[in-house]
Amino acid sequence: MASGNQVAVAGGIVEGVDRSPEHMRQPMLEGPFDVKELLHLDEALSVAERDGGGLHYSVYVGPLYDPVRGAAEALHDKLADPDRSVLVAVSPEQRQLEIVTGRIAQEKIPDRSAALVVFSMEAAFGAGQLAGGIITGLRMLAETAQGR
Amino acid sequence: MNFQDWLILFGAPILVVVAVFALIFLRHPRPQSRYRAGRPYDFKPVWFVARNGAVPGDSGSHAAELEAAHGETVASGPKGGSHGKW
Repeated sequence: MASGNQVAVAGGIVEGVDRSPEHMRQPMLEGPFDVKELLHLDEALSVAERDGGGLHYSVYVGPLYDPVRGAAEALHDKLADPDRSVLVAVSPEQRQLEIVTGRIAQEKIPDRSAALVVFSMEAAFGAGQLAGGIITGLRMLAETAQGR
Repeated sequence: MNFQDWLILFGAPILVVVAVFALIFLRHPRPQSRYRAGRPYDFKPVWFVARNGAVPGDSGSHAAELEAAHGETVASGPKGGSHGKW
């Protein structure tokens, strides 16, 4: 389902420096978040990247084809350093959530901790807080990775 | 009590209430999230990364074509994580 769709990729820390805000604005605003939510997401990603135990974090929000886990892992494989990366893939349409950790990332964020993060995110999503759930999840993942 | 008295007694407070509501809701509309649980979801997919070059092929363009299903990707090894539904 996701293949062929245009995916807007935003940079949280350094990306976007070489791009004008006008170019970033339109595709981002076609997503599910308003400007305020985008700013909070950007901040959460930056903080996670800085204090998240040397791991790289990314968030995908969009449809995931079946099997959902396979789709999320395929997205994770597309990241530049999958072993050190953590992908939070959310499909609001299917109401499904996947957290994918690479080989090294899994050592810092065990599956049990990831499951706890998923519980918290699910609660927020159920209340209609899409951005809030993602920000909470990023914070929890970063804190878990930092503490190990 | 004539009409003017009624107007002062009831008209003025109502006017004040209406003015306050207008000030609050017209000048600062209540922020509403675009996403509503259970409502149809028809937004474009977005992928946020926290550093430059985290997604190969993203350099220079603000939108990358996602070929999640059919793209040439190399599996990086065992993966962990968790999943859920809401």
